Amino acid sequence: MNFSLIWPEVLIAALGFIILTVDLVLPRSQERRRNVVTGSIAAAGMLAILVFSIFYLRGRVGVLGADLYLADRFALAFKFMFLGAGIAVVLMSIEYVGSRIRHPGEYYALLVFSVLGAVLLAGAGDLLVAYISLELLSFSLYILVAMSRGDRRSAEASTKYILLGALSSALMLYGISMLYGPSGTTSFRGLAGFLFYNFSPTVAVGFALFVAGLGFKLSVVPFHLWAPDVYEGAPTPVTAHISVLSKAAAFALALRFFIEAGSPTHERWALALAVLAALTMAVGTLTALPQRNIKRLMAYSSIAQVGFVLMGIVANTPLATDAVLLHLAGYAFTNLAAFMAIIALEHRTGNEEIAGFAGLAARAPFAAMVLSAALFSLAGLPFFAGFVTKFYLFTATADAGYIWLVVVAVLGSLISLYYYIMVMKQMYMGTAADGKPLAVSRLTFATLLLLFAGIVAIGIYPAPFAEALESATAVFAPFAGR
Amino acid sequence: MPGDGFALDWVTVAVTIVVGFAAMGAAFLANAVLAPRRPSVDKATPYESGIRPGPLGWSQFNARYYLFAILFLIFDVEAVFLFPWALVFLQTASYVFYAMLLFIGILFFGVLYAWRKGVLEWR
Amino acid sequence: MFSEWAAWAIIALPLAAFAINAFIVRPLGAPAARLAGYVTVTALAVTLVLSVLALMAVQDAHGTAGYEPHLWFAVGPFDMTIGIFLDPLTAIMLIVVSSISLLVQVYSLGYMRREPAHGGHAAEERAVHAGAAHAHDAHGHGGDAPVGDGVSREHPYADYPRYFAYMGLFTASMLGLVLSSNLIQLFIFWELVGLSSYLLIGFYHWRPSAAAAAKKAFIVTRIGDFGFLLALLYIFSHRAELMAAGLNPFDIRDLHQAAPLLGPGVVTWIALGLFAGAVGKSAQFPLHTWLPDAMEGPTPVSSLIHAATMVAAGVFLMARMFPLFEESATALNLIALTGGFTALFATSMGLVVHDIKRVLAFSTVSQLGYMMLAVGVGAPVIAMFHLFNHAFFKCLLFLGSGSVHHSVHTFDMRKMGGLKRWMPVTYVTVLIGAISLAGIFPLAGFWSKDEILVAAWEGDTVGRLVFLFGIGAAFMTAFYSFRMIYLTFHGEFRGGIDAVPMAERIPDEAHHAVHRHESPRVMTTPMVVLAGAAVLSGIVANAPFDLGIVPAHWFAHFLEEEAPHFNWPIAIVSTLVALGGIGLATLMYRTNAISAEGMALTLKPFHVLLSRRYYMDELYEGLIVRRVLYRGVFQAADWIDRHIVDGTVDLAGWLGRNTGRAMAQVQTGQVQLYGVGIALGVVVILLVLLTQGGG
Repeated sequence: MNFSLIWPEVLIAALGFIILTVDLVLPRSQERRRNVVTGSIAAAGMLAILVFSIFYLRGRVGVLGADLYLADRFALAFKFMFLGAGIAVVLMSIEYVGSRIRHPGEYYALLVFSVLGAVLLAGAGDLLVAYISLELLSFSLYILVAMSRGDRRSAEASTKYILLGALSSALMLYGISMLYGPSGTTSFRGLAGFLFYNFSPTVAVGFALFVAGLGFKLSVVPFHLWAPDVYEGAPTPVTAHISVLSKAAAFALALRFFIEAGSPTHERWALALAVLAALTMAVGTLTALPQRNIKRLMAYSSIAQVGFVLMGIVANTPLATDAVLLHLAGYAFTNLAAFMAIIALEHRTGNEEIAGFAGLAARAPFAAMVLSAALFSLAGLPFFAGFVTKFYLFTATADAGYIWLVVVAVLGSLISLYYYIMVMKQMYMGTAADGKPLAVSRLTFATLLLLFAGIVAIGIYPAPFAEALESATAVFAPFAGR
Repeated sequence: MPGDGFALDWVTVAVTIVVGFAAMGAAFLANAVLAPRRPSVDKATPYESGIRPGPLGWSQFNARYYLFAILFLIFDVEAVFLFPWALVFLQTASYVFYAMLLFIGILFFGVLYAWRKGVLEWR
Repeated sequence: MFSEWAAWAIIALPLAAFAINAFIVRPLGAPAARLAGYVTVTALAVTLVLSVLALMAVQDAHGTAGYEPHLWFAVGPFDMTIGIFLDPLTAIMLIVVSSISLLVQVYSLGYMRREPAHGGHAAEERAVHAGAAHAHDAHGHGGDAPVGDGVSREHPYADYPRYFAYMGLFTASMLGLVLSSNLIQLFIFWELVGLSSYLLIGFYHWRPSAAAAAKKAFIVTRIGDFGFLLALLYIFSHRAELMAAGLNPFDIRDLHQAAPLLGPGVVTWIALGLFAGAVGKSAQFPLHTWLPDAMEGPTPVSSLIHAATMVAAGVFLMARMFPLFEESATALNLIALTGGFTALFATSMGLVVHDIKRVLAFSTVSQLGYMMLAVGVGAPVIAMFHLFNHAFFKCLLFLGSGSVHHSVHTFDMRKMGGLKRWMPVTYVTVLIGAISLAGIFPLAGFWSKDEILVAAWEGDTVGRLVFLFGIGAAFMTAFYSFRMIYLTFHGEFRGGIDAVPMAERIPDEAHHAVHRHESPRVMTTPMVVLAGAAVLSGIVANAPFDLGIVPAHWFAHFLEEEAPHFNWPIAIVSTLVALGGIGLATLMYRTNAISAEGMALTLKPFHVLLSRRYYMDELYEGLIVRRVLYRGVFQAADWIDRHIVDGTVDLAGWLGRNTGRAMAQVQTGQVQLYGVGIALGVVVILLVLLTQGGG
């Protein structure tokens, strides 16, 4: 086994332990200092690992064990995405954690471990490795959700998340066992050949259970019901983390599973997934309409986004796979920017209601502008990332023949524009009860600026991103039907 | 013939489902029909290793029990993994040895962390 | 070799000027406002240098400097590219746009400065004014100026940041347009040109007439842009044929070779769509109505719009896409007829207007008609030559009219007269511009107009017809050019703004008073430079014989066209016609041998028809907009809207809200229920999986 391929993963794990150790060493009384020190270590460490990976992994691709762990370009692309998202979440946490979360060291360590879980998931070439990675990711998140200081909703959210998460994990594991039973393999590549000749009802049950477990992580309708409660209850940076990292990681697994294992049997599962995608888009958009709480709104909005991405998996063409990756990248920038701005605004006003955003454009013009840009991007308006990525996604889906799905998606996008604009209307048209300007820290400003630049860059000049991601999806080239 | 195999498989699934439900239903039914019903306080109390349980089944008890239980469980699980490893590690590749060291090391770190955080003290 | 970076810099520099002025200088407020002008002027000076270098590089390369387009984004096999297309045509346009724009910006430094005590728009001049004997009492009571744009209206440079920011954007858009290698890219800049012209025409947005004119310009050109957009969509729908041949459907170079692949029918529709866009932008009949109204902008803006940017874009697009158009005789004939008719039609309206800027506006419309005519008879190079010459003398004439306004504060020629005594530089330069416009040998206008007429004459039936239009227009152009000269500069002074009763003035003019003087040097210098260009551009750029430094027919050869030959009979005829026009104007307005009033009375119906501009505005506003649209279409639409659309929308909204609410009801917060959801989901997936292709 060539362990040199997983140095970045080892380093991420080590970073988590370093943070815990530092947390142990620093005196208990200096909570503020512990927050800043451990937070800085987490951000700087992940940045260092990101830079290290860029240079170290250039040209280093390979497989560990018999298809157990794949260190390929696909995993690499997700590695960058997860590390980048992890850094952004740490940056948006530092201020928040200081006043609202009790154990900063554990908080950052768990963030790092969840990033590790996501990174491992993207590289998994085997159902069991994927399962373990997913559990590492999920357990970190269960705890993170509960960490809000003195907020009962946080504890409730975590309890629900654990219960339902355990149920879905069990379903997934059961599904894996039913796939393993007849086929005798858990590797994606091994399954591909088997499924093509033996799509028996037993296998179908296993397939369905696995998809259900995956659907829970992705919050696909009807496995989505946990999402709004958890999004609302979790500390807001954790909500951002779940909405970006856990979604993207689950999509990495979904791409591997459906393309590497599922391509030969595409026409068997495509309709099931298409129905789920349509349901997810419809329920996500429509249920977002009556929401009053910004975090619940974002929960439903990201459910709808999951529906869009699922279309790309349903289409199962090289173009569609590129579109999925591009959309995930754009979505990562967009959602992180939106949450960053929401945290900047909500943390200072202490109000999560959309009505509480009234007049914020005058009080914090930059944060309000970034939030508006992010919401426009989510709605898919030109010059923002969302437009380009949705354009790719819709074109690819239509080219694959799922016109009806694209129609649902376009209608969904149109409706979504309404509730995104309602937030903007509050910010720009509403009048604040308190007209004092909100001070935005320099760190927040810089992070917002960076994320905003990302949204606009992808929106205006997507070619470099698309090209980089195409090399990532090239790993799927050898699979049947492509 | 794949078609036949598929249909046959179906029959298996259907039979399993039917039998499963039937067996469960039969058990409940038999219980309801056959069991003599003479309820008493002692019968309603949960079994707890022969000790009479506390005031009420739903009453609150100290959450620290959980921490100890979990720590115990961790080392229990460690032992479960150690035994098969101990049998074969000489025959396997060297990294298997180091992998177990890493595993034990991580658990050791966990104990240290718990200790330092004061979890092991009963306060 | 001219680096591609330098080509991008040509666009980036004015854009940077825009950004600096809009985001740095303007927020700094009054103390920094004055810098705005220098920012834009500096940026454009560098741009001009780069443009000259680009021209030299293209000259050396004997053709197109080939830059590979960059991938913007790719969707499957279709590549959307952006890039620089620098060929002789672009190089010429770069020179025209950047030089004219630079001169206009320099002029604006003087023109846009305001008198501290004034609310009005046009600045009074500094040094000359301070020393002028003219009593200043008339403007002593400032302070209650009309509402401005946030910056203190008292400040002499209050208009600078906004004005020069817009000007930077305007110039950058036009430069981007001419450099575009891709039709979509071109369209984006095309719309940006429209947007910035909207901002500039409506610069004095507190005046209702300016706001209306800006809106009109925007909407009327948008009608043409709709055709452009349809053409783009039509090309996109035919992308398969083009891509099969290895061409990029929107790349301009590839489109040049696309005609045989698409067939004449498709090409005709594409050409007509693009031409519709050009008709709007270049103010051709019937979408010409916005241009005379666009006078509401500051005069330097009009100058820029009429000479180099906005209206030139349409002609440029025609020349740019000419290799495609060539394949469609139908489209070319329509272009020639539209151009010829517009030339004649617009000049006739120019005969009777009293506003000096409107005279010039109609002359622009008609000169653009000439250019379209030239494109239509298959001579885009001559069209470009005329555009080149026209840019200099028309810019000059507008700057001259601004200079006159600077002195008398009105554009009404009936209130002018005799100004040559006080404004000698303005007089001489405007006279040169007028002679050039009239097309008298050997000034610029003569050469290009003559070549257009030759090209038309040598065409087929349509060519002969538009030749007659052209000759007619030439006569009237010469006539009104000199009518303008005589009314403005000769005879007795008729009072300027002082002759306008207070009640008839718009608020901005309330505090103005005449003080006759020459404009400051910052304004006259650009005019002198332009006058030089108006004399020389025709003869130097495309002389029929070798001049030593410049070879014969340099312009035509540069654009890879065989040299047009000089046609003596037509040259003589057109010169005689122009002299006839001048002669008539002299008789009517100089020697008063023929009474202008008497003539107006005798030809009353025509006079009324012309002064009401053929009732085109009434047709649009009154009949089409009021009657057909308001009474008919809009009322029907209103009914449909209220009873059907609203109902549907309400229903949809109600459905959306209530299904949303109903779905949200599922969200009880009960974990058990969520678990049920998961179980249901498994069942659904399983069912669909098993129904799909089982067995």
